[in-house]
Amino acid sequence: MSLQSYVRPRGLDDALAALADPRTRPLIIAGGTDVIPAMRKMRLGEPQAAGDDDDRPGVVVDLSQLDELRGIGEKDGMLLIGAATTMGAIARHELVKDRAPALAAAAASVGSPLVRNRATVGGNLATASPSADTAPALLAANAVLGLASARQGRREVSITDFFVGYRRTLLQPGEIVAYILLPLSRGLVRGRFEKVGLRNADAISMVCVAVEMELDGRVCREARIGLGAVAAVPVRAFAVEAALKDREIDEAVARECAKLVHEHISPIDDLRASARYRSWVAEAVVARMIIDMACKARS
Amino acid sequence: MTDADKPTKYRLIGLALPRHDALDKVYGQTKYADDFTMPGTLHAKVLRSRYAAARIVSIDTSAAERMPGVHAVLTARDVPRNETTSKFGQTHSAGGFEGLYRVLADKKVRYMGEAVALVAAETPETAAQALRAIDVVYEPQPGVFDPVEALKPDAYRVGEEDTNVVCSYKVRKGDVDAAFARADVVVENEYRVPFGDHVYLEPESGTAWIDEDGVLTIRASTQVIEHFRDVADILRLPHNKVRVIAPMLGGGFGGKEDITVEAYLALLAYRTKRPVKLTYTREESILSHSKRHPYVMRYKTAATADGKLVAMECELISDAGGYPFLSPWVLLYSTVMATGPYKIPNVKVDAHAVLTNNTFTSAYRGFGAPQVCFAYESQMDAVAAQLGLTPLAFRMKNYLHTGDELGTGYALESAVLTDETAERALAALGEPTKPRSPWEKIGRGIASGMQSYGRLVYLHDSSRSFVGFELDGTVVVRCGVQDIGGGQTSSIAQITAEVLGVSMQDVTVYFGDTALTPLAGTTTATRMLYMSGNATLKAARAVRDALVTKAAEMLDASPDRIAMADKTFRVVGDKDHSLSLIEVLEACASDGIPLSNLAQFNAPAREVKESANVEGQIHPDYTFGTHAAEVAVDTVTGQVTVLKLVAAFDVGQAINRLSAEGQLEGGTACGAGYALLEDVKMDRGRTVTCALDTYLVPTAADLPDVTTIMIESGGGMGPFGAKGIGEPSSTSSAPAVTNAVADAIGIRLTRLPVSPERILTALKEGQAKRDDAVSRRVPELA
Repeated sequence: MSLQSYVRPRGLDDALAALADPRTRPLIIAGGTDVIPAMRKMRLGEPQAAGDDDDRPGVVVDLSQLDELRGIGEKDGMLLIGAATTMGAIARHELVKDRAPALAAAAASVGSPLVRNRATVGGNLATASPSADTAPALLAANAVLGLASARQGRREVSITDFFVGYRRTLLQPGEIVAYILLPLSRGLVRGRFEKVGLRNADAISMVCVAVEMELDGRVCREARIGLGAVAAVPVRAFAVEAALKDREIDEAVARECAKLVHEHISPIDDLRASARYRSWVAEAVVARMIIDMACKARS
Repeated sequence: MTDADKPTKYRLIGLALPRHDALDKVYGQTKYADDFTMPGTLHAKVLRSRYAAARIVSIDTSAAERMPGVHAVLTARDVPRNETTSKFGQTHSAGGFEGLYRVLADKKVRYMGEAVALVAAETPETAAQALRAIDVVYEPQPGVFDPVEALKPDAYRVGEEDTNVVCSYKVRKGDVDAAFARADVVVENEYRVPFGDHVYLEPESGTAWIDEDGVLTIRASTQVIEHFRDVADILRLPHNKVRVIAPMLGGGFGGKEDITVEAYLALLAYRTKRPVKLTYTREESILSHSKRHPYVMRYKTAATADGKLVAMECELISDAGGYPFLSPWVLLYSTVMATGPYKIPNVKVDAHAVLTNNTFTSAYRGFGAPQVCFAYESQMDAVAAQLGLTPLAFRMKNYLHTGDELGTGYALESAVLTDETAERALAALGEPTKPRSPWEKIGRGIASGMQSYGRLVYLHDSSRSFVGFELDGTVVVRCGVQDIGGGQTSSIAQITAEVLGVSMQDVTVYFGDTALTPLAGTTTATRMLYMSGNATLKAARAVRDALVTKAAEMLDASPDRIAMADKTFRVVGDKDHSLSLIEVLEACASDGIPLSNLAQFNAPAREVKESANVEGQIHPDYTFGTHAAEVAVDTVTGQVTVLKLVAAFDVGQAINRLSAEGQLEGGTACGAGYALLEDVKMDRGRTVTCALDTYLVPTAADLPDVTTIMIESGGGMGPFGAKGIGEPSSTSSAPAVTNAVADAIGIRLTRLPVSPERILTALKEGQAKRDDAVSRRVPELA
């Protein structure tokens, strides 16, 4: 049998130790909402076919019960979220809803209640699907990710550096996402998230967009925009952000700036939508969100 | 007073009684096919073709056979009779409509996922390994994947015959060309609808074993236990040596009308002499079972300036996929119902079902009616718009009524209250919803439909039911219904209790077993309540009559003065004399009077004259109704939010109000999914939406509560005047939603599903041609 064992470490150090030896072919599981379907495809329950090199996982390391990786709190004016915190917990948390509304909305848009009660935010990032719904919200929040491994210890990286290619991150072998830090939105900074899916539950995004904007009246002091499902990785729309900076927002300005989103996206055709549709919608939704947020700030 | 509070002439009929199976289902205690296991069970798996079109050069099973734990590896050459005729629980042959049924692929594969070999092994894992050890050498063929292409004379031949055409039908009434020439408005459109999957919660499953009497017994999730005959023919066994049992089903929707696992299980159990179990994964289910037929439909509709329909011409091309299965029947339904519930003097329908190398297509709730309903109801709105009439006003001028003729010349005999359903459905939408933002547009639509209940009159359909008292006053019903979750057995219990003056709890219904329950036919075609309800009613009345006669004798009164209710016989108008049910039962038993009756109900029957030329009565009767929908369209993304859904139907007589409401709600939701979302995508015969993360159906979060309106004309052919509602409740739902979308955006989409991408594309193109779009604007509804 390919799968030799399942371990559920009691502490983070034990977990990192269990992940340290690549020869054991460890497979990290937290909520399992990505891993279990993948395991079914890998046919882990079946004997190895004769003559095949078995590169399938050998040990499943379950991080879901590690207290050190779970929970939501405030630390030094930042919001600290353990990587094994579930989407449901994030979506329901008052502090997140109030001070990081884009993230709360993104977490609430994932899957269905059943999925959200298992899926973790760390897993959403580590799987690095281009359509990971929390990624645009964390990009727009300029989040910092705390990583940990037995070999390299702890390090913090910006989420803008985290995704390096299609389903690839800068996580090293044996390294995990341990926590997420994001600035609490304050004063005039507001956040929004919008998911464009084919249905209202258990749907993968065709496009998802998060915007955080600091507004002074109708003037945009700063904007950060994250998009998902429109490129090989979740992306920041830096060109749109730069164009918006210090501009007085009206509908024409918003539309003009939103056109620059195409500098950052390279959508593809898939079963859910065509590249053309994604391009249209990415631009139009960015424009609408900016207009809506600016209007709201005015009133 | 709501409908539910109306005084009723019945004691139990029409009440919202909880179904006898409800509580077990809520507690998860109902046993479905996969919940049963026999001692010593082997596990089966099916090797399926990796090609949509190929020749099989060779199959080498020797390595698989040598694997420890593998008990049988079967291919076409191991099947005693690998090719039979597709029949579906029929007791009467209707030549010209039946096609080839091939158990395992032989020499040629016709669709991807076609079964090539079977394995039975000690464990599912071993069986899966054995499948991979079977060496099949294929010689891929070009194949043909579009039914219009497949019609061409030089197209690749899917089967062994010299044509890809499965069947062609026509309807001719009047002179459409002359009518088009004279008409004030002519609207012509081409419509396309996709493949659909049934997505029953319970995938195909069953276990087969040889019982102590040597009878090959199959317990499987099926809508047709009478496939026992087909299984017997395949194994060349006498019909009385095969038994099929259907436990409660987790849904069917037509997908379990064809044989699914039964023949495979039977072959493997017969070979190994061990119990064998097979349950499909969802992926295998979507890959291998029948799909709803995609159609290309060209419609030309004409009306006079005062709003009268004068002609309809329809060309229907149906994709039958790799094998015929029920395609001839489905196409016949489409042909008869192509013009909908409208009185049209000039009708011309040409319909063709064509083989392709796509997954085979067969029965799916509505059976050919939803495809054409989408087309004719889109046409109705388009013609109304040209005439400057509201969709309701135009329809009201043209609905069929009792006595009016269909295109086939058959004059409707039963109640037809489509007008009332349309008015009430539209009214139930209430005040229009205000847009929530400048980017949102609100639209409303209605669609009426007609749908047969009961099987084709060519099939000489019948059902049997046994009803009998026990000596303690409880009742046993034996009726071979398949309960697919629609409350089929519960309604039978309710009818029995009504007639025999007992409570529903006093009635036990044995169902779905070819050895123990009198054969009742298929649970398909919206026929079970109509057919088995009538058979049960007939049997129960016979029992009641016998008891009443005896009671009258004992009470020294004439039988017509005896009232039988609440387990008591009374003489009407005489308070002093009564007998308990048990006293009368004991007296009957003592005197040798039967306490039971086995009754048969026969539906109207006709002979096939000329199959290609569709004339006269084709179905026993039809159900008529209207759906209404209100939607919000996000013009930035093309996403549709369904705000309101209404289903208004003449159900004849609700037997169990909760079950009837459930059918209306479920059918409406099913149609909304067809309108907006559901789409089995195939790429040159390869299904690319093989799981529920890619084949999307609406969730509870996607649809509003359905408002249900039941009109009870009492004018149906079922028990107590009931009409069938299982399929009709779905047929007109999709066009109500798409008509609402057209109303919202001012552009009519002619292809399902009406996806965000198609809507947004239409809006973008519409902006470029704004003047044109305005000219096709859909006016206010009423």
